[in-house]
Amino acid sequence: MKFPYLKFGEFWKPVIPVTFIFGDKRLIYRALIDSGSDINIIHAAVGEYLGINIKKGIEHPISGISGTATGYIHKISIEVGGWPFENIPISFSEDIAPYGFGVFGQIGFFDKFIIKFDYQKKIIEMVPKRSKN
Amino acid sequence: MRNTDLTKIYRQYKGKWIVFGKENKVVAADNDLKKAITQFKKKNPKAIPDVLRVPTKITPYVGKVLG
Repeated sequence: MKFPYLKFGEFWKPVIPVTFIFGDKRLIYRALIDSGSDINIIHAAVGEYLGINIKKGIEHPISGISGTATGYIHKISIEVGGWPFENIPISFSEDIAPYGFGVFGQIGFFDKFIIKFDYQKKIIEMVPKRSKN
Repeated sequence: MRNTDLTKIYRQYKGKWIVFGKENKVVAADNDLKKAITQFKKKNPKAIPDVLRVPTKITPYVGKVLG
């Protein structure tokens, strides 16, 4: 599957849509593919919309260049380019900077795909490591 | 080919939750995600909302996910 980079101002960014599924609710959420992130970190508002009791998740600290924050991990189902994945750990956080994106990181995203970033063509190409997990 | 340059959208909707329609056009927006989706659902009751929280500013990204 291929996704285009999206341009914001002077920067082209690998921001892609991922469908989050919880119960009978679905939401497509666009976030940054970030190989430097260990985990997926998503706006808490997304989890709240889906009906997840955020603070019942596993509380953990998140460290970044700007300091530390808190997230709550839940395992939910996602779809990427039509490919379903279950029990994906997602950290929902209220501490994402107002100038930041949610991110898809190593555990629960990069471990599911072989990902090729072609900045020159502004294309991200992703191949699932298996059809189902 | 859908629009991939979201610069105008970024400038217009900084800090808001937006819901995309076809061709990356914005069909609903609000500071609150649930309110943006409610707007969207009024005209598209069966569609899955496709959302983005627009950053308040665009700077070179170096892991600045945290506030």
